[in-house]
Amino acid sequence: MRTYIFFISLIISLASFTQEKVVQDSSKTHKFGLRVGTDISKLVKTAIIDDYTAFEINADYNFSKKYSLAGEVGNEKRTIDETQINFTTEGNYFKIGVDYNAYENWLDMENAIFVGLRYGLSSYKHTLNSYNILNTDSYWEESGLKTTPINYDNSTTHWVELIVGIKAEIFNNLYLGINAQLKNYVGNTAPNNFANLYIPGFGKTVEDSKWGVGFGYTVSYFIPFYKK
Amino acid sequence: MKQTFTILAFLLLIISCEKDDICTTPNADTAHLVIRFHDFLNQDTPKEVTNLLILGVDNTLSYGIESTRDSITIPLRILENNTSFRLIKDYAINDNGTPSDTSDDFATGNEDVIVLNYENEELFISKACGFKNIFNNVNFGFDSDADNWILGSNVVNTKIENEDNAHIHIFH
Repeated sequence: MRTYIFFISLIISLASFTQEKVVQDSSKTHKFGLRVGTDISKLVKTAIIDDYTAFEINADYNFSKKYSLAGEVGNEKRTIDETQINFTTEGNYFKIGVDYNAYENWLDMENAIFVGLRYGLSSYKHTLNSYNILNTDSYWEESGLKTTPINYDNSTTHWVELIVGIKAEIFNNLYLGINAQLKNYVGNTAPNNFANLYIPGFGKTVEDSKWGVGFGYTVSYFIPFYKK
Repeated sequence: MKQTFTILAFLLLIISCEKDDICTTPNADTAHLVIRFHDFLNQDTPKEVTNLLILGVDNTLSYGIESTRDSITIPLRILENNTSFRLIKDYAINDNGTPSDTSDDFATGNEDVIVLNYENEELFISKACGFKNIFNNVNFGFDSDADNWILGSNVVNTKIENEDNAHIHIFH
């Protein structure tokens, strides 16, 4: 699954890569406005993967030629089945920050090759659906499997995120984008006798590490406010 | 553009890989009870128990075979608040004078029954390891009979969470 996604990203990247060889015009007007969209990878995964439901709205406003105010709001519910534990994490998140557009647009286009910073905050809960007590000595022939769910409410994580991506206009004011995110959490309230193994908006966590990675495929619509 | 593309491709490559989730945490497994045998008269000195056979009460199997040793490591039940063992010292099979016929053989030795009472606690370890059981407020006793080889005991640690040190000393 991930391999396919990776190759699709490569193709999209290359497609937008070849587009840039057009001669650039330095005397040009700029359109300013709000771009609103959604992460289609979350919609696709919601449709095809059992035990996964997510929705995200993202927006950016280019208040200058190079900088945009950008943010994402979303909800994620995911069940993860490991050998020893099976749990469901559900919650809401938002991210806010600034994007820097490194791409020189010509005419009225608002394509973007951007690098951005975000502050992210996620509020969520876990349900431990089943778990196993590790007891490799089988002398007493007891099963360590427990199936009474345990709830862990009120987890909160906030993090700093570096995001890089591309947004390319495919039709009039309609943009297709891909991005990759590298995150490092600065605050994390872990539940008593469990851990925040998955964080909505942040992704999977790795033991003894504050790092997380993510990716997004966005479809967005640009609403022009004015030209300059 | 080229640089951005390279960074992006690299980041997506990282995302495409996942760490294998194998339980490697030390002491992630539920610990055994560790008992050391000491001399009753000289309680700091270890003393071996000869030909000791361990049998769980309510269990049809012995825990290993008989051997001479100064410590044992035995499993406690995690779904119950108590576990009992029959510790048979000088365990031997008497063939009743007929070595070729095993049907009339009988076991000899001095059997003492030890009883452990405790409270179970489930402790989260990690995603790969899950949980382990910890035994709290461990209480140790042995049934008195006409001929006890166990003469006394001392609970060194009332919490069993690893096997680094002895939890109980038995004096004999």
